[in-house]
Amino acid sequence: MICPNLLFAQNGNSYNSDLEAESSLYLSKYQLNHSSNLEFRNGLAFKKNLDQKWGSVNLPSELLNDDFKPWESEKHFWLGVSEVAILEFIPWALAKWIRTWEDPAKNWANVSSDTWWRNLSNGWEYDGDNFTTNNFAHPYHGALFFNAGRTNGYNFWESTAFSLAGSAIWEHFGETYRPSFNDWIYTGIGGANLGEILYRLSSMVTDNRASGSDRVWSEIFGTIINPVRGFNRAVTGEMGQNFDNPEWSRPKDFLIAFDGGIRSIDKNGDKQYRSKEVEGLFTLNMVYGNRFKAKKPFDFFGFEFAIASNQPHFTTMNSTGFLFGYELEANKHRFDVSLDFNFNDLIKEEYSETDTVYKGFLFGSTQIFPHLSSIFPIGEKTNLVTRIGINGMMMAATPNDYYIDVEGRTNDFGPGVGTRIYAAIQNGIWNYVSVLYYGAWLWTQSQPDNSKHHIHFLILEAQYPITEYFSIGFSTGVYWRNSYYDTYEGIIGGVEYNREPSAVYKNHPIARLFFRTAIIDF
Amino acid sequence: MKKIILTLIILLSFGSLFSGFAQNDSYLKNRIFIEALYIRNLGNFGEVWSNASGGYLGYGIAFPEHNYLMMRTGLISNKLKDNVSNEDAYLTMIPVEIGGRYYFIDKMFMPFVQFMTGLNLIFESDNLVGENEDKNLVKFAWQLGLGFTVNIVSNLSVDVGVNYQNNFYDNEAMNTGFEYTVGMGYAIGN
Repeated sequence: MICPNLLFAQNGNSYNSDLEAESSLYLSKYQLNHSSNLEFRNGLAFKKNLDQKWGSVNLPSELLNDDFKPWESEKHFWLGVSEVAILEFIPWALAKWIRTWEDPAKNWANVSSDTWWRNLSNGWEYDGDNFTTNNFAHPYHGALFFNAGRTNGYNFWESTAFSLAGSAIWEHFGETYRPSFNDWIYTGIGGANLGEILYRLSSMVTDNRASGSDRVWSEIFGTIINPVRGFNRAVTGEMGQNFDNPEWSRPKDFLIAFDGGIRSIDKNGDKQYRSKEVEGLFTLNMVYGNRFKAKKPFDFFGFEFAIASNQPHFTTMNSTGFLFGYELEANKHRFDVSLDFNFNDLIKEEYSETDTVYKGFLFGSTQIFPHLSSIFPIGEKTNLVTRIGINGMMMAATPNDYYIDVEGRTNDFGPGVGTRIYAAIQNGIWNYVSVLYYGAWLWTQSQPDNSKHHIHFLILEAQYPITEYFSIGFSTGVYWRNSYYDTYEGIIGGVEYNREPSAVYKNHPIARLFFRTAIIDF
Repeated sequence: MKKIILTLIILLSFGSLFSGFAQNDSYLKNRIFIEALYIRNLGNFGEVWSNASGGYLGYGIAFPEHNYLMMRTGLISNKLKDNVSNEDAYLTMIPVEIGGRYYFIDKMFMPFVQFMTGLNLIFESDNLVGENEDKNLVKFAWQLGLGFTVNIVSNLSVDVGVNYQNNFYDNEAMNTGFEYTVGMGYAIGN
């Protein structure tokens, strides 16, 4: 994936955020834990508590309930289905009975057998929701559906059926609108991605061996991260039992890094470079597991979340998770397939008395990334790491230059395919230099269709450690997009819309200056 | 034809590769299957092409715990609604799909839920408003349904299913409908 940030700013470097980054991160950690640089690792911030690892306040083994059978060790189909039904009912009931509608006729919760049959007959459409709703709210709802399966004993693949089915049911029967295909992908597949990440983080935070206030707080944090899992642990009494933690829930490799700095983006993208916006950017990067040891889905994943000082504040959320793969040569070459999710919103709205102008760009995708990962030693502690693969985008979003939907959508939707190449020179946990290229063709399926987009991200980043656990870095890059629009004549949402053929070329340079620190590593 | 034969060989080889996953004492076995289908089309699409018929040829790979991975292709021919007169018009689809079944029980009578997704290769002579327009399209397809498998003898089984499909065709006329299938499967590679 292309981690947005990545794209812009920190493309894949060490704590990188981007999926790419994550991988490099992983590689960095791999080196950390398995060979060199132990002295460096010992200097990491907050390191003093790391040797305690998990459960320093654990009860002794003899006090654990060996006979207790964890809820997730068996499948509980009907409870899972019931929880999906509850997760459907709550938002529907809020819209139906709680929310105040200026125009009651627009209440999408007024479903009936007529609307159900109409939706079944008319089939999919692409909706007009804005980027954040489609790329964040829906995946989160899907993550809840997913965990209705995952926390009731089902594995990753089986739980994905819960998020896909839950979303399909909602789209066909929970709203009066025609079912939205992009919602289904973002909720069903994006939800599986986010859901497994939340499931693993929640399982990592909760400590079945702990007692007292430590146990209470671990359950509270675990429930905040994964409400469905918290609910199940509460109703099954698991919160009050002391038993062993599942071995998989304590990854041997885990890293959280934080960086802060400034980002500059050219909003117009017209190569005149006269519309620069500078903003603060704060990013959280997380790497879970070891990609070279991953066997099951999401044994390894990377996650990046960024907040900007200017609008839109919620600017980035990228993740990548291992699905399956093959080791070609031990610790040197692997072929992996990951499930990636990208949310990069750099659309800058400018208001006048009569109009709102959308500048900048956005990019989102739910995709798979089959790729070859390699490590080439070039020094005692230094390696060249590379990844090259195919971007297989099930659903991607990029700006439309002419059309703004009445519901707020400023982007086109469609599937896409392209290439991604990443290379970095790494030493310890730092990437001294890295470069990322991400390219893809996107064929518009949403209305108005008859267009295609060729998008590219190129990011070069350099980083220099100034202490053992702080580095300062600079990245520069460009997002460019060539969009080709064919003639369109049609009615969208009851409004006639016509478009002449044209081509639009956008070029948005981005630069970033930042400091970075590892705050948790083991 | 060579490509079709090669594809079948690859599919069968793939199945043999994973045959170790299947439980030997299970009714769930790797199978080649053939199915006949009838589709009642819905919506704006169904206002022109009222129904379709055809068949599938596919291969299924059994996995432990009642799971079944399926790949299939076929031929689907749509029929104009009675009050639409255009004798030479045709709309034919070749689905290329992958998906799976979850069998609730592993006995002689095995009910299942099924999900299939993939692409429809569409060949049409006329558009929905009756204009002559020879076109080839590639559109996303998926369906969800219920059914059951009856294991008649050790290697032979009968499949019956009902599926709802919501395939892409045109933004104002998706290829929606209910599909009814009946077919036979022959266990191999177990």
